[in-house]
Amino acid sequence: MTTTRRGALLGLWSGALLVCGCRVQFVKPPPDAEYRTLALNVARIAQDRSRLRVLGMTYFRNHGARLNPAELAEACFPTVEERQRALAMPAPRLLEWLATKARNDYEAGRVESVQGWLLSRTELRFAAIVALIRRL
Amino acid sequence: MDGLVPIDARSLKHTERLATDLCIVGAGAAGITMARALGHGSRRVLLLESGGLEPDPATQALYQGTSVGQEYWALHTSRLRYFGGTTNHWTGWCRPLDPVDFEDRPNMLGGWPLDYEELVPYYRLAQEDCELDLLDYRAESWADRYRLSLIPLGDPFETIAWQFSPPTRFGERYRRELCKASSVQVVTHANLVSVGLAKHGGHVERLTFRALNGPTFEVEPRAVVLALGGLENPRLLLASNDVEPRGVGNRHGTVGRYFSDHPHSVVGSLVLNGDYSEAAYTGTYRLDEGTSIRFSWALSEQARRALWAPGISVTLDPMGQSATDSDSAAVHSLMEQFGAPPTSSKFELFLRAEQQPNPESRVRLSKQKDALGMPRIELDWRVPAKLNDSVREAIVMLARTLGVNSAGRVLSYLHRSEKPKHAWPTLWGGHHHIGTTRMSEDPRYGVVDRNCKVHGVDNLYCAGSSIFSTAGYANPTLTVCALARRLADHLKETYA
Repeated sequence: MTTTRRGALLGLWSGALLVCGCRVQFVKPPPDAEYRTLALNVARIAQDRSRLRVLGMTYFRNHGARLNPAELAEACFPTVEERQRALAMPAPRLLEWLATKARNDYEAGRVESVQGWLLSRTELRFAAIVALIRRL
Repeated sequence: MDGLVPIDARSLKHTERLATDLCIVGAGAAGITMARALGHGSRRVLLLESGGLEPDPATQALYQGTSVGQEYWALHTSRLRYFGGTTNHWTGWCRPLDPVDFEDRPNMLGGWPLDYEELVPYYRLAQEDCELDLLDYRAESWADRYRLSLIPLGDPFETIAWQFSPPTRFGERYRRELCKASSVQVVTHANLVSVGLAKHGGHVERLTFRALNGPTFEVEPRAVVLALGGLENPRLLLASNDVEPRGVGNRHGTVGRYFSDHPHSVVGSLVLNGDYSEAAYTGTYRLDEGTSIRFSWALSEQARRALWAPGISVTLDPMGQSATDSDSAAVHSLMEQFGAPPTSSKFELFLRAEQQPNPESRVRLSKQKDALGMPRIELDWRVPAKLNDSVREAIVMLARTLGVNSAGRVLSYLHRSEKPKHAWPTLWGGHHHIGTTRMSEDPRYGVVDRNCKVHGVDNLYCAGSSIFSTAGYANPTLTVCALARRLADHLKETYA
């Protein structure tokens, strides 16, 4: 069996790719870390955090105070595709997308009562994320 | 005097007998409308009213009664007992029943034995009786006419229009016409105390009237129309028990049952998107001296059929600044962020609902007597718990349709966690006394037939809101007038 110089170079290149690929796979953060980042991005677009926190904390308590910001962000953007798109979005477009999701919630009946206010789940999750992330 | 003064019953002789073709008892919206419609024929029409031309405390006190069910207005303040009847304090809200109200829907005991189309020509006449514009209650056509923009809304809610009568005070407005009418004789201060049946029970031979501190006299009519209102019509039928022990027209025990009012409640509040004008929703809107109108929201006919839902309408009333508490302020922020910047004011959601006919909701005679010796009324108003469920669902549907359209956000007082389920924030009636001699072709479920004739009595009729088979959500006066016009036509044919 003879090995040409060209063949040896190709083999090395493939091996390097494999190693790099593994390393990329290894350093990529798990989804919950991405959702933590996404929750942070969502919280950053809130303009009036102190007001929203009131509503968000009530929603949080209504759900047994079990949810964390990453879980709330995951509930807003549940698929991999949505998560990645949302992570890449500038703030105004992310807000637009949330508003569209809120309208879809109203359309589909995903409405919850918080102290009698009948609001979409997306709006309430948004407020809860703002409430739970105190420091940006 | 101007020669247009009615006969005062106090001036009649004791035991005097008056003969007439048609005797209409009660000069409110129904009685006056019928007398006007019959006023120029060959039939002699006698229109008798308990009160005079002005209110009088002693006569008004004859209306006193007790309420043992759902809290209700004092019965002697809920209506007026003098010429013109309760139109003397009517606020003028007008709207016909919707076609769906006449249909046979679940829990509506068969609906009406007539349909909306049959009533349309009479609604047109009723529009004139109430000094209104065209029979057009479509919000879109009024919005076009007055160049108003409607708040976007989708199924299952729709925007509806109300028209406002000036309001017509039927007594003042039509007294002159009635007193001039060739075949009408008006008698005031005449209190009906007994409907006298023939021995076989199927025919009214005479009516006995008594004036307060005055004579007792009789009327011998060919036909009688009781137009005394939704509480007094059953009272008189039940109290006239000398031939039929359970009362006139009451062989099946239906007289006084199925009492309905329109449950009224402030069920929540609304923060509106500032892009939309609430002007046409929060006050009457009048242009160029035309008809006053106002918009509100209602469950669409389509939705009521599909959901088996009762009639539900919601009117917006201004209630001051919106962001007065921390939750409201948060909702303001949310709306601003989500592209629906709110107005600074908020609005009460004022509910008018329809209650389904319930035989246990009823008017009975009490053991107490009035100054004429007549048994007083005991009202047992019952609002079914499932109405609360229907309203809760409707509020969520309203919140959804407003949310989809980014038009506003709703605070529901029925969804607050501290409220037990089925508790109303407040609940009161609209002074609309409905259904106590309801119309049904089946005497087991109603007192009058489709011609407003009492089952089993060949010359006795009822008029007014007591004959409504179902209540809808619309205020009843326009329909009262339309049905009175229709009954007048029937009597013209029957007693030609």
